[in-house]
Amino acid sequence: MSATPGIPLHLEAVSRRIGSRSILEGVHLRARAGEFVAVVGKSGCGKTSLLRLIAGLDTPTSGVVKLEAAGPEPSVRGHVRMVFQDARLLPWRRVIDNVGLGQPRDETHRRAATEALARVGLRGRERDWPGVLSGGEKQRVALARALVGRPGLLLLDEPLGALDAFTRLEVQRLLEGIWIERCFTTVLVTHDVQEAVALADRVVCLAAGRVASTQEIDLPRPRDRLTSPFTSLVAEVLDRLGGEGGSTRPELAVPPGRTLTSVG
Amino acid sequence: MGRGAMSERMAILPWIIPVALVLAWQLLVRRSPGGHALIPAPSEIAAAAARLVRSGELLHHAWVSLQRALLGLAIGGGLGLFLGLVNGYWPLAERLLDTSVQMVRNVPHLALIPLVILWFGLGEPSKILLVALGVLFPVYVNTLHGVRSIDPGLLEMGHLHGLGPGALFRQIIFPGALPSILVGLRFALGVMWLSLIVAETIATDSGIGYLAMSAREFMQTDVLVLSVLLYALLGKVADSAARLAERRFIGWDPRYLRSSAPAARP
Repeated sequence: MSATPGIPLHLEAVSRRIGSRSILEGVHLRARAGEFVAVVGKSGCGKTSLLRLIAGLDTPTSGVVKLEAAGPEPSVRGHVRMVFQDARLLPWRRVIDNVGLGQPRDETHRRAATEALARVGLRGRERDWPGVLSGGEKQRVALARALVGRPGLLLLDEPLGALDAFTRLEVQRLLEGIWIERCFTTVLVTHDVQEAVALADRVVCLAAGRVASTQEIDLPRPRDRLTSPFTSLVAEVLDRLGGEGGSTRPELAVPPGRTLTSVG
Repeated sequence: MGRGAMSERMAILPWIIPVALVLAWQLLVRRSPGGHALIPAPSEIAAAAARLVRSGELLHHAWVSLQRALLGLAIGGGLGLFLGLVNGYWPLAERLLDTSVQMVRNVPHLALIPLVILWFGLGEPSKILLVALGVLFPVYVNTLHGVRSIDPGLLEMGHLHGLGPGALFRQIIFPGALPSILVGLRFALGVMWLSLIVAETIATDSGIGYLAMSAREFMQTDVLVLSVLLYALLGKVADSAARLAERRFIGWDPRYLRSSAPAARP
């Protein structure tokens, strides 16, 4: 099976409003093919909304989301996969059938699903019901399900947010390993700045629905979290996030004249 | 810990009270002077059962009743399932249909018996219609609830994985609603027998209800009690079938996983 090349991503002045409330305001974002981009920010800053726009689950009020791959748009969409904070496994299908969701039920695809499970460290758990898995195992199944279709763009919405620190570290390493091996483009949304700096090529700070700053992370992989370049990068990103006037309310963080309230 | 012996003992547990009651009944009737005419002893009922089985009447009437019950269940339950699925999934359909369904639901269907008899006569259609009307609503309400309570996140995920409307229904909506549908089915089974009993005692020329009514005319209390027991037996069989269906179809549910896990191991 040939791997799908990473899909480059391009967001141009993307905004999203719900009613009169502005969720995202003029967001520009680019990801090169195979790049790992992390989006960090406080809760309510629009991280998840941004990811949903990229996934095509929501449509932007204005602006364009472009997946710049060869081929027509619908077929490109077929190579986008998303892992949610809750694993979203179908409780009435066994692990193996969850991984093979949306794939033809033949021997080739079954073998691919078994391989994907083995890759995330769940060999031998194919016939289990999701109900008996732990939180970390469920998230690994979700990851296997996202990987089995050989995605060109993987969207991760705080997939490790509900896991304990040990399991989280383990799944992070796993994720990094698979990403290096497969070269898909990745957008990771997280509130954990350490996680973002450990995994991403670039960290985008989102505040009040806008891109507040971008930080290239140019450290060799796998990254040692105890070195001083690492910790100083984490401190820098944290500093930028905290420096947004300390406000999470868009009308206070955005300069006058550019808020929605002044449009109407 | 001897789990096998334990579970055997547990299997006997539900039957202790019924068996004790029957024994007490037999003893009391045997000892009371002249009480036999109105209250038959269990042994007499058993004799009546043997007599009716030999003549073929029992099987005939039970079979007729069972057919009516199942046909009514298939028609009413099928319609309830269809309406519940459509209205649960498609808001426009619910807007159009739910008010009407709720209005009909609130009419006690047994109150329609005189009308049904006038319109459909004493034949089979009137009885099947009453059963169908009775079972429609428990199935409808629970199916609707089941479809509604499906996590929208699962539908979104299915959509992202390229499932079309048909696949979404087969793989997510129907299995997700199934536990609730089965609850509706168990409710419906209760209503099914109730409707049938009433319909058969008011107007019929065959079935368990008919057996009971004709026995009343001849003061055959043993046959009367026997027909009540037959309903109890049929009701229990239906309920067990529904339970079996639950185990078979929603074995993935963590509640079932826990209770069936030890039994599944050799």
